[in-house]
Amino acid sequence: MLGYLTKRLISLTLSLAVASLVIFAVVEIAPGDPAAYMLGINAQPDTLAALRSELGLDQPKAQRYLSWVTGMLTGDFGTSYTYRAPVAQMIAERLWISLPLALYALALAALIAFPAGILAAARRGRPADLAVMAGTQLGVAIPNFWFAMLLVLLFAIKLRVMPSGGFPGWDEPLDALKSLTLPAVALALPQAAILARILRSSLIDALGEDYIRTARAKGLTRWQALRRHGLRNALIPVLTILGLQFSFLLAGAIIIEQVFYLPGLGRLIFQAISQRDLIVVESVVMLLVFAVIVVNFLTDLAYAAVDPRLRR
Amino acid sequence: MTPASSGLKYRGGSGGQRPPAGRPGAAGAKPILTIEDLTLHIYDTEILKPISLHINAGEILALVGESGSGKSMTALATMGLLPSGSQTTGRIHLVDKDLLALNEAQLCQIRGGRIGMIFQEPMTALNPLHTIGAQIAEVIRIHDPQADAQAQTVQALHKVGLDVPPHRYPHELSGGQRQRVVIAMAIACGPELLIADEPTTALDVTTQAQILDLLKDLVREEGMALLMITHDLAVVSQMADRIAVMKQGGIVESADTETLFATMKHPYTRALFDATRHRADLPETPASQPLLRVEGVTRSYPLPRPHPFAKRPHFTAVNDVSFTLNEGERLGLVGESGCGKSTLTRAILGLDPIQSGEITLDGVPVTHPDSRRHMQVVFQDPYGSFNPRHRVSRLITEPFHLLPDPPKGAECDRAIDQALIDVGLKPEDKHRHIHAFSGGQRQRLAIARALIIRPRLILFDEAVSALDVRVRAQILDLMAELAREYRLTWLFISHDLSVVRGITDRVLVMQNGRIVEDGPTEQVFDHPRHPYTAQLIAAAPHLPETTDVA
Amino acid sequence: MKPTLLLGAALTALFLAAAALSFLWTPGDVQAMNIAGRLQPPGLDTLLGTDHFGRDILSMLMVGARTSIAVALVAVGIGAGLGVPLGLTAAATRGSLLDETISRANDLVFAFPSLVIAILITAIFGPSALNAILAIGIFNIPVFARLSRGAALSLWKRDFILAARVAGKSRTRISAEHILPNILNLLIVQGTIQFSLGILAEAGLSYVGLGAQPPTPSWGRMLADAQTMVAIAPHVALIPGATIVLMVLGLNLLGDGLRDHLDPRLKVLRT
Repeated sequence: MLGYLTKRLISLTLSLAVASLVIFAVVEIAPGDPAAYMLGINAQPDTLAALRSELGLDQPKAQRYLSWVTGMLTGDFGTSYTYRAPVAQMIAERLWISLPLALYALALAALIAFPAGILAAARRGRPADLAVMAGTQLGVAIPNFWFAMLLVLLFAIKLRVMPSGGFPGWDEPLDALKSLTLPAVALALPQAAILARILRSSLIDALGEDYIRTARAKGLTRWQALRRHGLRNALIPVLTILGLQFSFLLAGAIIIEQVFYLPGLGRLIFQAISQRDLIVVESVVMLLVFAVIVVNFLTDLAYAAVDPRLRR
Repeated sequence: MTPASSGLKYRGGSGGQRPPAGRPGAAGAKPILTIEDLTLHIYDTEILKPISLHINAGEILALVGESGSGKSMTALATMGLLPSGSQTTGRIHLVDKDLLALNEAQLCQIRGGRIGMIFQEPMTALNPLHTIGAQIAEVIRIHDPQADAQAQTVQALHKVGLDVPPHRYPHELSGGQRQRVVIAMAIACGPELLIADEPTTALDVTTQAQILDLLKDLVREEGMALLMITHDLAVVSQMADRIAVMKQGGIVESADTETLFATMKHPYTRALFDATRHRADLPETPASQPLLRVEGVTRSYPLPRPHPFAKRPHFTAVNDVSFTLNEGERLGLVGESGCGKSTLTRAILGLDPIQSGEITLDGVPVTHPDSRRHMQVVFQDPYGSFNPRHRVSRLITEPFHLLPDPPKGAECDRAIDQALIDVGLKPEDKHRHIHAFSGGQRQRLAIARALIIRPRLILFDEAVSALDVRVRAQILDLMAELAREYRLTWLFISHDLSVVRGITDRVLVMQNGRIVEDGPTEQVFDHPRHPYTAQLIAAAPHLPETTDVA
Repeated sequence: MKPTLLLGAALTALFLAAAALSFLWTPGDVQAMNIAGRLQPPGLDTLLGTDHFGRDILSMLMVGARTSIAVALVAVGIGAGLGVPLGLTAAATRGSLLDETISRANDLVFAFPSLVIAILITAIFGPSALNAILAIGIFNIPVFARLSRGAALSLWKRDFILAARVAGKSRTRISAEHILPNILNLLIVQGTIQFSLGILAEAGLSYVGLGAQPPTPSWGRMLADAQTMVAIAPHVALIPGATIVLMVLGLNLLGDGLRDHLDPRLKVLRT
């Protein structure tokens, strides 16, 4: 177990190191000088130089990379070029919307997918399975931002039971939750469809294994065999997808945030890119990658919890 | 309430008292399983013709047949676990109950309660995520929620002679140990009937002997009826009270074991018997010079590190092995799984590097192209040995790649035709794809592929192990014929002693990466010098001697 | 052949045909604005109605299909063209440093949130269809690499590969001659699925204004334009959205149907 853990931890650290290098390099080769962008076309060369040195843009690349990374390790993400505010603070504010939204959507997706996937696998080839499969087929084909528009059309414009966008802040927890509901549903549905399909197929695979036959020979009913022996074995591919989905939901909310005018991470990175606020871009992307890598690590730990063969 | 739960109460008592003998002919023999005129169709295919059989308490009935004879389907029908689309007629009685008339809930009480079942593949029969104790306890709780499942689990493990704590996981056990766990689950509720479907086919001979002994003892001590399903006459000849021989969905002959072997009324029984102990008629070994030299060969694998900073541990699969194979000689290499014979084979083929020592063919290292073109191989799996997308003509000419100047056009066609004729196939077969051929025909094609460049040495790597006995006998005869015609030299690698005995002049016995015995085949089998060889030979199942040989 | 496969093939063929037809003929002019005839509901004159500039929606959808299909198809081409050789190489050199590097690089690309990187690329190098292709294509590489590596690894264990090695064939030659043909079915099925994901991704990018630029019509942009008008003229949002759904649905049905038809045991990746 300890060996498995250290191995995973080392790979986690390496991934983060390489990812930070890649992000830094991509942003570096981006055309356009942030300082020139901030001051406009009529900027004087000396003011430009002063700003560049203030932002640290005149230092060698290696040094800038190092100070960026060491800064992040201590929670200092630098100062936004555009807003002259600490990036960490800006991110933290936005995270208060994006993170709950992602978790909300993930919970919804799992809540829909698990019963649907299990039902479909247990009733393989029967009407219930066909209905679930047809539903998931549709679910994976619908662009989530269009689905979001339909939700707005129905619930906000026609029925007027939900807000069509915006975010009131967490001071009003119920209203906040309400304004996150339609975005979460729009995000969750396609994910639920994918998850249900994966769960169904991995359950069907597990049900074909010899140990299910053994369980049936022991006198377990079909359902008992599925629940006690099939489900846990089918969980590993499902965990992988769940891990991937969390990061997708965190980042993939960008477009949904556009639809609902939610001031989340997605809108932040969008604004930052259009304003050449590269330090914000770098930091948000790094944070998202960090989230993915950490979630992957947690998924690996979950594997070990599920599968004793990995606990060595 | 039902006999299913009453069956639970009669357990233990494995002390000295033996249950009333249920041997055939014994007075008061109580039939446990009675099958009458059972037929089975899956969709529109007839799987079982009307078959009838019965087993008494304390009796072992062996159902013997080749693959596809319907023996496993008979077992699944009894368990009520037939695949979808199955339709049955007839009756299957367990003592007083007609199993075919029961609904699913009633069948669940029977399965694991009054009928226990053991499967072929112990490596996959257990759920890898649960401890063995939990899996044994589960069957006990399912059938009697009030039972002290933990105590009974320990008892069941004790009964199958497994001295392993119940909190172990399947992957921590060997194949033989896992099979004992499967048996423990099958007998945990004290069933009246035990069904064992090829229970030892996946095991090594020594483990097989132990498991067979265990099953025999359990039947005698617990007074169970055992339905033993196998393809191997030799396995059951020493343990079954009665044998029923199945062919194409019907029982062709059924009698006491002794009577059956003495009379063999049905020609199919006779054919199976002869094929099982078949020995090919090899030509004399010519006196000649060494061809393959293996000198001090060691091959070790790096294992995964226990933790990232540990030194990589190594596993030595082949340890300082030396032998020579003379031109025209037929050499056997036997050993149990994991003994290193496959690793040695790959090293001889030049596929894997060796850490020390030298392997040469006629003085040239086997990794050299000049050496490779004189060596070919025939693998075990007739289904995986050919690229399914190519036609036979392309498949069997693949070794031409080794020749500096491969035959082309008409010359190539002649070579293909000759190779196909040599192995008993027709030249027209060259246009077909591999899926059009049976398992035995595929092994013929594999031999054709090996022969086509007229190699000086052929390696047969478990080449007949996946075949039914009668097909196996035909392939062995083909090999002998080709040996006579082309003066072949081969190294025949197998876990199966009886096959090796019939197809080699000299034999090597391998254990834990070392060769422990090397000598003329008959001498090794009749007078083994190394204790391990003696143990292997003693454990191998063998047929009773009969007076006449067909 | 199953009806779902036929339906999928028919839908895909319909969209491909419509896109091809748009080069020669469209019912209306996609550039011509007609403010008087704006936001017309579907009817006899304009089969699927008009948008807020009075442009014929059916014509725009036909031309937009061109962009979507081109972007998604080239992106799949990039992914398969680079990913498959990488995956085959990794499998052929299993356990080596090269294999390890390729696999780790795959994992790393998977760790980047694809949409964010797509937005980053298109934002840095300017929004265009070409950059959308690049952004979507990059994320197709590890999908194909992982898939072909996994499938190839299980083939490398088969005896017929061993036989080819005994016949003295090099690993590269075995990969091309024995491995690739045997994973082709899988690649075709996965390609269809990636194609459909590409359509969705392109729609998403052009919805946020990072895909093909106006005046080139694109499905995502049509939806973006429709967003403010959804209350007064729902058809401008419903019709392009339904078009995307039908195209993606068609491709998915085609992919699943092909898998069932070729070999139901094929394991595709879905992310």
